[in-house]
Amino acid sequence: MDASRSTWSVVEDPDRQKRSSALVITESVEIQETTEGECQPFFVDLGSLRKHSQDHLRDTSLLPSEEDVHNLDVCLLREKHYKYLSRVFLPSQQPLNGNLVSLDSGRPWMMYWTLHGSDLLLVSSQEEKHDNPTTGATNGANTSTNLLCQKVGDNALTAVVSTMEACWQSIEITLPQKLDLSDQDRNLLEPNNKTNNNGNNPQSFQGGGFGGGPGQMAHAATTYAAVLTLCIVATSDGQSSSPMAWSLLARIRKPLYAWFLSLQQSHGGFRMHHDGEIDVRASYTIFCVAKLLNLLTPTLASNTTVDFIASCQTYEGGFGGEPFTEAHGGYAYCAVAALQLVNRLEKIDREALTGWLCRRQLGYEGGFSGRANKLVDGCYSFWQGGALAIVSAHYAAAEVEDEMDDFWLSSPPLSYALLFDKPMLQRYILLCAQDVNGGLRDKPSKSRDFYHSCYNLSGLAMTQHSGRTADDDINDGGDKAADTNNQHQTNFGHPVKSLVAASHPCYNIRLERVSKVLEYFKS
Amino acid sequence: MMMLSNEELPSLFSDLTPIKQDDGPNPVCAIDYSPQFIQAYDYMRAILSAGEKSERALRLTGLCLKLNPANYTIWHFRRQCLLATHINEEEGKDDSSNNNQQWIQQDLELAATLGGDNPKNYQIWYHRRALLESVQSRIPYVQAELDYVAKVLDEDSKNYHAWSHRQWVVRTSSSCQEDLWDKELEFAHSMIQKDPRNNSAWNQRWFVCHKGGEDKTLSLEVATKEADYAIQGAGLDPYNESPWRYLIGVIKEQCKILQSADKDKFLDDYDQKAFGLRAVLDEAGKDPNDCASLASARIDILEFKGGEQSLEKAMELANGLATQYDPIRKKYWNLRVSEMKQVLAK
Repeated sequence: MDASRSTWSVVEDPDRQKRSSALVITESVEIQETTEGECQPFFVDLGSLRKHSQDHLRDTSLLPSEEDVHNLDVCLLREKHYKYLSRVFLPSQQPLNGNLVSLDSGRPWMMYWTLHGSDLLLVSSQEEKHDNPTTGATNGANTSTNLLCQKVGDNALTAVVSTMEACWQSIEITLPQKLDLSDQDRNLLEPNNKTNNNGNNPQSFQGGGFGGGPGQMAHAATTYAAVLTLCIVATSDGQSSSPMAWSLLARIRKPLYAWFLSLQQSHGGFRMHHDGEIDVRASYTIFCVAKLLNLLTPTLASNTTVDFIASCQTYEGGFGGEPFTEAHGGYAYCAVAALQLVNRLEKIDREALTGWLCRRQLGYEGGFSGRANKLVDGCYSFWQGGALAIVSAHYAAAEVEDEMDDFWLSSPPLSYALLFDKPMLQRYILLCAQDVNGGLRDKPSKSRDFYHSCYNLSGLAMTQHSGRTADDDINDGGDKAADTNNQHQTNFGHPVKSLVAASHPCYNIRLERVSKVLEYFKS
Repeated sequence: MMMLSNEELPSLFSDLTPIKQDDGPNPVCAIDYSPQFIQAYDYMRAILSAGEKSERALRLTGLCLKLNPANYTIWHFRRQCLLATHINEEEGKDDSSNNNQQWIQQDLELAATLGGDNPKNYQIWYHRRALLESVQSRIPYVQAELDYVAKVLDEDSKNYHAWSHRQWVVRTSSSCQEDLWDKELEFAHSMIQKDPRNNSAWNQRWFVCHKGGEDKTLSLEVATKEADYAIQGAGLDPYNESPWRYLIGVIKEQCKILQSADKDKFLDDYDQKAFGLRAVLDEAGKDPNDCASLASARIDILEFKGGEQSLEKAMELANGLATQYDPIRKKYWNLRVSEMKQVLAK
């Protein structure tokens, strides 16, 4: 391959990047055109830049050094992103700006976004790429899960666990008398033996969940973020932090189960917290935590709960938060991932879903929007991209003979062609979403934040790990003769320096971590 | 009820000892709270610890929520204080009903004020729902609620929470107000007129036509009206995805329930009408083949029709999109073509 050829031109057909059209100008059209305009300066043909401009990009690390064989391929600003994210969890850092006070009810989220984001970045970029001749897998992506602890430190991870513990809220749960508890359910429940328990109420249990901060009520979203974070720490082989994390996860299993049951509504939805809203996010966050901790019983994942999720599919093909509300990327992800976790994706109209998801990729920008006629946003790289990864896997699985319990954890993992335009999404993330000072953002006109950093990186992970094969698409599109449908599109970005770790589309933590946690709680 | 200020706290809560936040031994992601924030929340912790649901506790929640409107725990506690002090859930007597109304009204205003800067906050919307769920009769509140949502949508026409809330209000109040569905249809129409690319408004129209689920499917008469409405919308600007997907939604639903002869006629009608909108593009000096939304809808209709001729035509359109007119979705269009090929092969 010609070393000087920019991989920008790997986006083979420049006409693939089409600006939107309109016969009538409306407010929606205006802001869409503005957004395309703000992305345009980033879509420059790097190979055509004057030398001093290229040198400037090398100085910022967006391009690698001149000596690099792929010296015109865009890089992830790995160290800068890590520095931005690690502020949150490294000890002796300044407290976060008071402007972030709204995140006072979302501190587990902050920990998850930054720790998971960092975890994705910790892929060795210095190593030579070694192709495994048998599986075609690339070493660079399979960095040991110990790297996080080595980089961040056991002390920091211990502090993460203890801060998380401070967010745990114990509650006494009284389940409705009419709720029929199975033996399996009772085995997962810890009776409440306190004396204020009115004469031996058999439906009274010890419960709990994680809130947004110390003293805050248990909430499904912050519980999800907390448990995922603890899973990351537990599987990091930290000397003190990991055992602490495992221990905390083990202790909270039964209280979580009682609390989940108390959130379950008769129509199949779940509340996000007591006296809180009901929507499909709750179904996903609860299923996800339950599955990791081996709590996903038929009671929790009943036909009614599955039907509720399915009923949130709209005429457009996507999913809203509740039945009849507008199809939206965040809720679509929650619905798809939740159903995938319980292997019931066949319950929905898959063709309609696929069409809606694919229509969410913007022709000019390359990134995804959350809803029809709305703007591109880097976070949808994961919500939509991840949902599409799951859907794409299903199409591929139909061709394969073996029944797989989990497409990403099976051995060998399923190889699937992503149904969306992979290099265009990568291009959006690498060129438009990266903040040159570290961190990632919604779009060029917006500021970086931890949430967008996490989900841009997670979206990038979705594009890079759909199963490697011998005709790996990193180099030059592989053996084109064998790949007649060009199903494995060439990647955009530096083959090593834009690499992130492989994340599981249903849980959004690294594959190896999911495996280890599932294994641990199976017993 | 006057908003409490920090200065008043020590005297109002002189009997309580403020409690510091306990983040554990080595807290991470500590936030640099302002002194006002710390003081208010230290007293809030004391109140929560004492389990006191009183007038002064209620006032304190107001201050704490002003400092962090996303604190769902404090919203919940506020509701508990309202129930304990002012709101009588059993509205037997007239004066208790009026009393409730005053307090409910006040809190609806509070939620609106706190929402002001961030209409994307879940808690302020849920608070409205919870307040309205606590009253026996919804009637005095419905119009004001719809007016409030309309006001929010005036600022941010696609605000997801606002539209969801509107759906909830209409759906749960329709039994006590006859013309609610008709009025909502008008509202959706007016929002579509304001901006035909407001997809939320189109979605609302679908919600209204199906009466939030009361009607599982549309009658043929209504479906025809709706399909024509969508064609009209698409005719204004065929590049607009929203009316096309609305049309396909209506057609798809009818295909599941219509008898074969009615179904064929319905599909033929809209196949022609969709094709007919190419003229709009011609007249505007555009290449009609270049309109992906139009072609995409035609492909769906042709696939519903089925049969060799329709599928061949659909495949031709899809190939055109894949190779030329909608290249970002090349993979997707190739998938559609291969699925249609499989159908033809059978």
